[in-house]
Amino acid sequence: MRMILHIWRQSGPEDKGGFQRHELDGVEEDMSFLEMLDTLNERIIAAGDDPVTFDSDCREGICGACSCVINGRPHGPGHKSTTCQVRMRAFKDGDEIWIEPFRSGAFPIVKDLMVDRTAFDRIIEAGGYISAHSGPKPEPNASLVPHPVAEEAMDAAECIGCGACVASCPNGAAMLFTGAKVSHLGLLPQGQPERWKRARTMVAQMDAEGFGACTNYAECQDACPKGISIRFIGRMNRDFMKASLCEPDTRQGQLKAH
Amino acid sequence: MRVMSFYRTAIGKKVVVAVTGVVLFLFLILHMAGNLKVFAGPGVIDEYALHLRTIMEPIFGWAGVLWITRAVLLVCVVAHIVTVFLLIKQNKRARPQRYRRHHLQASTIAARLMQASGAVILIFVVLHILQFTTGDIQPAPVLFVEEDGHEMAEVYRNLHAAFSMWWVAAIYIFVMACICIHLYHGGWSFLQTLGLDNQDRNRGFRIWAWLLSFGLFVGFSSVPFCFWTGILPAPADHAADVSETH
Repeated sequence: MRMILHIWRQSGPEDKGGFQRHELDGVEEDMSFLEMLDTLNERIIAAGDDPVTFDSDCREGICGACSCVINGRPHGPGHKSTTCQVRMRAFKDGDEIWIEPFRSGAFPIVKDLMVDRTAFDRIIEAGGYISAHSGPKPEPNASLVPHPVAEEAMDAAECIGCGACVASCPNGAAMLFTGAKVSHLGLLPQGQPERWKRARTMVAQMDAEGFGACTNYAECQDACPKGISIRFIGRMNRDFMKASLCEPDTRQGQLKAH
Repeated sequence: MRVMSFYRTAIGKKVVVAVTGVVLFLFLILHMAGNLKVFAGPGVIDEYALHLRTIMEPIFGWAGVLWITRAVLLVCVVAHIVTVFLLIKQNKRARPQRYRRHHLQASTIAARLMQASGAVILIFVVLHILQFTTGDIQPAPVLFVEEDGHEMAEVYRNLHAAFSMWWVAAIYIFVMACICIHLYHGGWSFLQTLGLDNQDRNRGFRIWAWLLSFGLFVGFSSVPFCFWTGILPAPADHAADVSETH
């Protein structure tokens, strides 16, 4: 197959950037999208030019490293898949493909298609610790978790932190990511001691990173390679409201009175 | 202090938009129920207008409850709009550069048109109050004086005078369509924002938002439509109307 590629090239964070046109022959339909980019890069390197920078790691859809907005969709065509899982058979011979980085004020572009997603790491860090027993290995059945709750927590924990939710959101909001991260520990007994504090600190960090506010478009849920539901945003909102308005900050007063 | 730091967060602002939206939504349901009294005869809606001014009069005085309601609604409208502007500002910063071609997948037309439909509704509300509440832009406002010396508009006559003009009726019906799509998104969205949503009920919530918003559209539009088409008769002598309904 022959593809016409329009790829976003930007030499660094301060560069203005723009699309560069490439024509690539010999694309096989069994190639993954990233293999197609590798092929392109080999030719660019052979010609002595600067290859296209893009993120990738596991190439089996579980690490969340690959990004790219392909023809206006994060991770390209295909439901619940990452860029590395997209095969070139999703395109036709002679198709024009527009490849852009994930765009968000909180994800500055490093180079070409590579963006800095450490804002997500800082949100996770803001969640802090969970209080865990550090002595001998606890008896596994000491904390009982009902099956539906375990499944729900696992649905939230499926998030690979790729940032497609932010990339797909017209508001650049990170509420699906933060909602999933707040929920997966918030649902389990091990996450209860710090549940309210965690909801507050993670939401505060999300705002501090400069992400937008959800307007319930539900684009994120559609773009998420793991199909995480926006019900976790609702759950985060509920936890955050309770944490902010109802739960006491400290028990200092009571302890002193005692 | 806690409330202020709550408001400073994006979720806090969203909750304020949701809650004020619900108050305005409930008001619209009551407003529509009042409007539908026009079908019960010319005297009935005028009596209803008088009733709105005399509810709990011994406690709050003439139109006291009405003014309290107006004050609450004004606070909600201002909080709703100011908060939305703050959120829009935050969202603009969060997405400084647009995609060349953003392929939207899941969002509804109603969700994408929230700002546009909201702007239409705001302009309409101002004109609507100038027309039917103060009478400033009503072509020939019909007023009569109550016994206690309170001046009050004659509702049925004013409605008939306005909606006999086809373009006034058409504008009203167009704006009601804007309100309908605004509330279709809002009616579902507030449940999601307040975290009442879950996967088992989401479908039901969508249906509820559709029924409620479309119901409001039909209810509100029926009044201008029926005056325009002549289904609702021109008012006869006011005194005769009142005696007819008694």
